[in-house]
Amino acid sequence: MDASLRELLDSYISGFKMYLPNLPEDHTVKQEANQLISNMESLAESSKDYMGFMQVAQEQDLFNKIIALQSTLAAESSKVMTKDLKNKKIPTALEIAKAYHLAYDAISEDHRTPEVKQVYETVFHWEKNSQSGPEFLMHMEEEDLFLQMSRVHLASTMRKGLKDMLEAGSEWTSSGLGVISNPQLEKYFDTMEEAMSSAKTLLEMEILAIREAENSRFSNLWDTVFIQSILLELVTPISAWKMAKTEANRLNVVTSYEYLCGFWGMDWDGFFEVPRAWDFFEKSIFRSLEESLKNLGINSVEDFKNDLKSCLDTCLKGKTIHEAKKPSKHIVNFRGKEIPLTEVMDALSSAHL
Amino acid sequence: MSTEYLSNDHEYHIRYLNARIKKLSTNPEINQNQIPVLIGILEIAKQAQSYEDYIEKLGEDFDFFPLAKSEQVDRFASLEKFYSTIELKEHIESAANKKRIAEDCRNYSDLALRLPQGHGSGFQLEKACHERLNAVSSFLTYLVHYSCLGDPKEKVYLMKTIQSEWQKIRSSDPDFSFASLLNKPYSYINPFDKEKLSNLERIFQENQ
Repeated sequence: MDASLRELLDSYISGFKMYLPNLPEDHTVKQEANQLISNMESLAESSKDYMGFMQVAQEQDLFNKIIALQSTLAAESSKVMTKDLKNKKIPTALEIAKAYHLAYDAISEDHRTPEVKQVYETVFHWEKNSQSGPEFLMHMEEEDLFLQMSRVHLASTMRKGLKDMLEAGSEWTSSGLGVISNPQLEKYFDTMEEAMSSAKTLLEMEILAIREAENSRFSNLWDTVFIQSILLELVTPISAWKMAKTEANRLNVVTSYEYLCGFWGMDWDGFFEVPRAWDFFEKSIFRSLEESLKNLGINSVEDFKNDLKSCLDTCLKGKTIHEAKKPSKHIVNFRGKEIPLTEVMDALSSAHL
Repeated sequence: MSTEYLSNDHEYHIRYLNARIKKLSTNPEINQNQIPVLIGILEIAKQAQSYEDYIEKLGEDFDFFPLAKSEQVDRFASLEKFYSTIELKEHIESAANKKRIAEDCRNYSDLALRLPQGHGSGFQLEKACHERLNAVSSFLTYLVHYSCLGDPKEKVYLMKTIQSEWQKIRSSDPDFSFASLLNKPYSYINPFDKEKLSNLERIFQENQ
């Protein structure tokens, strides 16, 4: 399993460990949590890489399930502690804090950010300085430590997730830069962190997380259709023709170019002037091919674009496609509003529900 | 009653309850069911002579079950409201069902067993919605691809796939049409303005 994926899993599992020791083995919610952990492990084992795991996990709404289950576990733990009270046994601070030691021990060094350390140091300070369980719980609640433990933990995991996403593929690109072009997912991590800071309870955090997950899902689906129709339909037939110069492939190049020019009201250069299309072209297409393109004497993204254009001209065999630039067609529907193509990047980065 | 005569633990517990109420009250809309429950518990704690007396006075609610239940009701009420704003009908139905189940729960086991995460009828509903949204994305992508293809044989084959996606969408939303793509929730996925959609609709209708 990918090392960063292992860290991500350990990080989530440590969140569960905060509560699991408080519950008996045959407890339904504990069994459900163990099942979820096991499913996450299996999914991670079967995923080809970090991004593959993240994609399926998001599709399965795994992250929201984790938050919801941790919230239920917290309630169940509280119930067990209250039962102790019913038996006239007031728990000690030491007994209650045991679970938080286990949780902290399970956090890998990478995820022990200054914020994480500070929160747990405060928790352990009150464990030592409280005369009883109720006093400890009071400090935990008054200083917002229950929520902060979850928040700093998730924030650290998300920051790591964003870093890994931005660096994905960098190990095999000659520039050492990542190959992911996904402004909406970058925004998802940032907004989630902001949302977590504003939440006062785990439930609020969960609702905000669901809102952001849906926002991100819509942006991803929108962007998939957009990129396919404005860029990939343009360059993929040319790449196919370069690999196999058949008449059928040539015909696909001509047909697609002709259709797309009319559909979007622009010519070859116009497509690459769309900032979102250029970002994807440079980061996800050029960088992933960079090494092999160098062997063909193509050393920059501009060279690559020009090479594709020269292939297009060969395929057109002198045929002129007259499509006057039509600015009225340079618009898209974005969440019910018409916006210019030039604003797509910003729209994806600032979309909200 | 003044807390002067209360044991430290009892006083600490009252402060704990007050802190929780204060936090919930910063967002009364999301926490509307939890707040009165917690205020009720606080009243009992204030009236009690001691910690032990408080536990006795709580009676069968000593395990804080009413609070756990109200949190679940709040959770699904908030989700129902959120999904209504983005018009995801299966999610609205699923959240409304779960809210009703939560209101009907009588103990912690009920909450744990009757509101499962990740399966059950709610999961099936949400899955149907997820599949339809993906089918809309594929339908639009394939239609553009169809228009770009030069080979007539490939076009015939692809049109069958496009029709299959169309059927998939209509199976869970019988009223779906091209016009729907400019309304929620499909307008969140569709990047094409009215003119481009008309172009794609004409291609779809002429080649079926």
